[in-house]
Amino acid sequence: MHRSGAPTGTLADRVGPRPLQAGALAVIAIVACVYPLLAGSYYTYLGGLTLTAVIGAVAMNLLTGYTGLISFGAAAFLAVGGYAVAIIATVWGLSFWLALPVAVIAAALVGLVVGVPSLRLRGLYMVLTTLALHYIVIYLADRYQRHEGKIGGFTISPPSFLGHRLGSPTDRYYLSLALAALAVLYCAHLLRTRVGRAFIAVRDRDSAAAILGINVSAYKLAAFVVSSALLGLCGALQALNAGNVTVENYDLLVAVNFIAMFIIGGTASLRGSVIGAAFVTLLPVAVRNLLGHVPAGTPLFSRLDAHVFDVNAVIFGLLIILFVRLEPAGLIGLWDRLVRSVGSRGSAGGPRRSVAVQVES
Amino acid sequence: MHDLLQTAESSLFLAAIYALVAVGFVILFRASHLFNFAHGEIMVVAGYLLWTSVTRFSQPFGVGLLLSLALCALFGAIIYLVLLSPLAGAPLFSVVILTLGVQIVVDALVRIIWGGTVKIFPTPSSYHPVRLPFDTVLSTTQLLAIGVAAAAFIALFLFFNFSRLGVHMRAAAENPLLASQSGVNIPLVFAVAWGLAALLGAIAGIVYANNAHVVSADVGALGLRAFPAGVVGGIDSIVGVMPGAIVVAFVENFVTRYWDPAAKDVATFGTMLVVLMIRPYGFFGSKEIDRV
Repeated sequence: MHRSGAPTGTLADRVGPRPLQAGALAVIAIVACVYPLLAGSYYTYLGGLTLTAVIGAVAMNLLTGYTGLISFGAAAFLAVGGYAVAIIATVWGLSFWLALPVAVIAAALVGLVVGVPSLRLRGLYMVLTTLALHYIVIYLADRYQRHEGKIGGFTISPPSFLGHRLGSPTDRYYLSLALAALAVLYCAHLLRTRVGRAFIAVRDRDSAAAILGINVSAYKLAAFVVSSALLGLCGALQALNAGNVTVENYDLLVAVNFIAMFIIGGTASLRGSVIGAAFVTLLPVAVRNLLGHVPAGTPLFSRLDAHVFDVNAVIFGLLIILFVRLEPAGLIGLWDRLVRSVGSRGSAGGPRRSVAVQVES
Repeated sequence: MHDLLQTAESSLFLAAIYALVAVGFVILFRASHLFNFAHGEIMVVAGYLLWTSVTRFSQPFGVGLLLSLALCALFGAIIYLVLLSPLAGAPLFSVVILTLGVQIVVDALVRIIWGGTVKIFPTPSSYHPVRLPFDTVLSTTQLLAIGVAAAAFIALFLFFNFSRLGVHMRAAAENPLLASQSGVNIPLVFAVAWGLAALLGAIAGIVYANNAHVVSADVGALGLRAFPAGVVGGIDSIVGVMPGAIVVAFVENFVTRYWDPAAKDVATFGTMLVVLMIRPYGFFGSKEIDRV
């Protein structure tokens, strides 16, 4: 299934940060912390959405990029997280802080249920199982919503933390930042362990991995459960950020968005997931701003202006096609190549090779 | 009892549409071993192209029909030659995602070009109810769709068994390397397969729009529901498409008629899930062999 030259988990991703990388990480962390102080409330809100998306993007990359399991179920798991919050915090009136872990556990359980057939089905058939999961979950959510008579969806009111109500986008930004950082660190840790190497071995050749003594079924199931749990967390945070849970927020295009995040950002790369999440979340905003610069009054403009959503979709679809065709390593691949070419020009030391992880016993 | 029979008969119309789209999925799978997520969109494109040539360019219906079908077939072949064939040997996932990108672009372009509004289908055939035994009714447009699907399947049978190109296509699907060594032009044969799949999808789109009396960009969702039909029959089996389409269409129609009209997607994909659990390769599909 895997071809050489296509993206792999690299040692740079697997081994911990080097001094330079540690410095870069520190800078990123500081920028992420002071960002809301500099940005307005709308851009802080977008920042929160991006950080929330990072959790989902990392989860999808873990499942598909690292373990090679193809899933169209992202929106379904987000819905499980979102509806868990809606039911517990809004319908039952219990605490959001209780709803959050329940959302994670519920999504993990659904992941376990869906993961079992994935042990029997491979490749394209798994695409279809997860597609079926998507339609089943969305149908149940829709039915529940109709049953409750909430056509417009469920309102999620901001919870309090240590007596402080998380009412502003800034508060929710910092909550998203903390949880996104935890999710990324957890995945980085997981990938450095035996589990991470087993995921990659399962992806590269599961029959061979089985011969080497790796319990393929157990690791596939583990990948499913971990990624579903993270998607559930992402869905719960999304519900809080949006202040609303409704079935329209979980259509198939949302699942595609979360696939596009690691395709565009970089398959089997945590840094790629982060960049891809930001890219896909902010693209519609950028497209809307750009359309504002097209001269008004022209027939082309009025046609495009009436179809902002579709213009965005065309650009989004074209980007997916271009990255799959021309840059399978994604934005992070482009970036690494740029850094390497600049580095090799500056010093005689030649490009630092990133070594593909071999299947290890 | 009468209601049951009527629902069953209406399911035949839906089955005909699903069969025409699903056989395209099967042909594409046999040629390129992938699921083409953009395939359902060809139904939409065919309808709008026909509408444009008849309404905007004042062509007779027959000319518009031929033009629309030809352009759709060409479109399918071009998608293969430009986007898919260079990806031969790439990971499965990349290829599937690429077709998803194509689907998003085509869907959005259709909405931008044709304004995302429903157009009246310029149908020359008029709508007549036809009385059938037990006091049930099908319309002429529904019967036409069933007839077209039946004719298309007979033509496909003849094509794959008696034409040189059809036999080459089967050979190429079974073993591309051996086939190419026996003188089969693989890129040509695969491009024809993509064109043929698109043509069948376009026919489905047009007979569907003929019955609905409108051309709509939302028909792409119906095209996606033809997926389960192909999978239930066996994704590499052309023989399996008809039974697969009939099963899926019947389940969908009975579920929406007697349980919940909003359960279309769940009914079709749920049926597929159940069949896959019992027979992982569908009714007539062949087992995939995993070579280390």
